[in-house]
Amino acid sequence: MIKEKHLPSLQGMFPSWITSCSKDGEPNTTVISQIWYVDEKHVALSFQFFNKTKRNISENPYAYATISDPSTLKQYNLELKFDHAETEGNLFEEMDMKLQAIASMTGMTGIFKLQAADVYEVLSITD
Amino acid sequence: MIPDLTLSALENGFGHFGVASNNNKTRHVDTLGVNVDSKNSTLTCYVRNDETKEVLEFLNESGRISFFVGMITHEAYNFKGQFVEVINLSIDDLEASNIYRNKIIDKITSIGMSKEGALSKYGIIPDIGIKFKVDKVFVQTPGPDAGKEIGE
Repeated sequence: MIKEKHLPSLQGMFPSWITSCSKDGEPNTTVISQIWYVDEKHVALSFQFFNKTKRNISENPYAYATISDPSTLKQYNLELKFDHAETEGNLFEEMDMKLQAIASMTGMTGIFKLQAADVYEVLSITD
Repeated sequence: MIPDLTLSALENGFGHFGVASNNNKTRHVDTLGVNVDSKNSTLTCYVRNDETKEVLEFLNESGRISFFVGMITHEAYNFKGQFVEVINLSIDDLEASNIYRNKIIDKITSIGMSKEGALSKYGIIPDIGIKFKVDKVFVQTPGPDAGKEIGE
C-alpha cells in the first residue's frame, strides 16, 4: 500500500491535512504537522490539540488525508480508518521528540504537546 | 458572519475545502483563492474542476462544508457552512485568483520549497467557484483558543 515513493511525504517537511466527519455529517478539515509512516499498511497521526478531529474519529473512524512530497509538492490522498491509539512506546517517543523539535523551530514550544500517537489503517492511496 | 479578523487569512492563507458524503465519508481539495461576500455571508472558493469530482458528488449529497484557511504564522480559521452553488469564474474572479496564487507561490519559495513544485500546484488556473453560506467560524490557531467559535 505505502510505497517508497510516498516516504518523503511522511517526514513532516511539509504540513498534511485531514478531513474527518462527525456522526451527524458535519465535516472538519484541518492541518496537521506530520503523518507518520508505521508500516506499509498503517500511518500515525499526532494527537495534540485538534480536538474536533479526535471527537469526530471517536464517532466515525473514517478520514481523508493529503500528504505532499517536499521536493516536488506532488500530493497523495489517503483514505484512512482509525485503528488504535498509543500513549507510550517507541512510536510515541519518536513522535514526541520530533514534535518538540518542530515546536522549538516554529516558536510553539509549550503549545505543541503530544497526547497520543493515533494509528490508522491505510485503505487506499491515490495520486 | 465573516469576521474582519479572518480577512487577512482568507486573502493570504492556504485554503483546504472539505466535504462529507451522506454516509459520512470525506474528501477535500486545495483552493486557489476565495471571494468574500461579507454582506451575504458567503465565500466562493476557486478550485479546479478536474480535482473536485468527488467533492462535488459529496456536496450534492450533504451540502455541508468545512473550509480551513491557515497562514505560515499558524494563524488559522475554519468556516463551516452550507453549499449554495457552483459558478463559472468571471474575469474578476480569475484576476483575484491570479493575485492570490502569486502570493502563495512567493510564500512557498520563501521557505525554501521548489518554485517548480509551487508552480505545479498554484500555477494552475481555477475554472469553477464553489459558493457556500457561512454559518459558523472557528479559531484554529494552535493554542488555548483553538476550536473556539468566533462571536460565541
